[in-house]
Amino acid sequence: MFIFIVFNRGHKNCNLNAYIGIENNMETRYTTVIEKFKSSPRDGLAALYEGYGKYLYQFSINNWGLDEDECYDTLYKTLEATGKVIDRYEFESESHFRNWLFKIHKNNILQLIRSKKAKEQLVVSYDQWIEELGEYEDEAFDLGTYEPLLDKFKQVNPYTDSQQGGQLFFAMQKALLLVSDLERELLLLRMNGYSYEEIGTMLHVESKQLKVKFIRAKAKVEKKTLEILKDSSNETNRENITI
Amino acid sequence: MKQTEKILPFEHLMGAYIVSDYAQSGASTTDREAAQVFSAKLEVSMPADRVQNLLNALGNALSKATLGSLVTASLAEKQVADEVIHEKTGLTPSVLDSIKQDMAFTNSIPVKSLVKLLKFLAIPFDQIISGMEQTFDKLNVESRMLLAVPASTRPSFRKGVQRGDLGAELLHLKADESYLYQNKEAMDKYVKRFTELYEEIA
Repeated sequence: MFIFIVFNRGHKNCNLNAYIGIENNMETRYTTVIEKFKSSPRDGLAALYEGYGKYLYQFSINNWGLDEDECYDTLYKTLEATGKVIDRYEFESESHFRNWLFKIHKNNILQLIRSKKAKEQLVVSYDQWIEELGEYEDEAFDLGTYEPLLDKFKQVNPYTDSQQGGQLFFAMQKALLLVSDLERELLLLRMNGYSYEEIGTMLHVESKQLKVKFIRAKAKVEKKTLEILKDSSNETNRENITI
Repeated sequence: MKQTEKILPFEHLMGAYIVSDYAQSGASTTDREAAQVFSAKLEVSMPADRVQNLLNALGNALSKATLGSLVTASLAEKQVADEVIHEKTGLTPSVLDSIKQDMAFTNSIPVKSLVKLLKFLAIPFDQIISGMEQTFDKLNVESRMLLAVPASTRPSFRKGVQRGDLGAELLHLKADESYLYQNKEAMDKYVKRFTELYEEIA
């Protein structure tokens, strides 16, 4: 019986031997960390930092622009929380462990960003909305009908205003579901600080056109978000009139 | 008020969305991100002296004994059977297990029984209080993690430390009732009562 394995030599993830080698090495990585924690927390910490902490530190700087102290603090929180509970858990695979650890660290970063941004007050003018619209080209739309709506968000700090921020985020979440998977992932990844080259690798697409695609996708989501907000605002007005 | 030169209003709002809980509960890119982050070439690193500080500070924080580790070590040293503990304290073997494994909030354990146990094991009072604090922190960290991490990413408890091992006395508590024990005020009250009883009970 012959088994044929066909893969594209040009694709970096399809180098089978290298791929299997990496997976095998990684498979032993998280189990080693857990074993070390069981015998000595200090050895476990060193292994956790060496295998994962370094990467999380780089992520904090590259993607979120945190300074050295902030990176130190968030990594401390992540490693401390992980170290407290790691020896009582079981993971299905290396990727399960990595996803869990990554999510914990990202939550710590987002918590820090939220508290930093809560102290900033940004005033956005209608002209700036128009200026942003200018980069959309084919996807540009008439912003005039949304002017009263945009006025409402002029001085809103979405990081602290739970009512206005909540409405906006809910609309944005819905709008993101109305674009294609590629557009949605591109937007989310770009807004999470990844370069177009990294996004190309992550989504297995050419990175050359991603900037243009990002701008178009952003325009689509903006338009849909504003439509959703306008509809819900009209609905509220109608309800008020009926009452 | 702060004004920056070039503002892209919608991108600014999307930035806020990305760090909000809405984005965390919406479409997830965690798998892709984790794969990318942990396979990236390392080009930025923490200065060596700070790494050493970090690991030392964490090492000290994580080496503190929990109530569970104190009880486990003491029981191993004294070689006492679970039945004997049950007889002397009223704690069933499964509740004792949950104490040993730091699986139950200390303030959910009947206070008199716990005083009897720790007196019997002759664990120094200062170590007990510090151990209780460590256990409380550990369980709080775990609860926060469970809330913050999506179900698909949550690990399971390894064999032998499953919540199902908790004693019947604690099993009547529903999962969402554990918050009763998760606040510092409730813990402080418990420690106060524990301290009073520790001095009263011979």
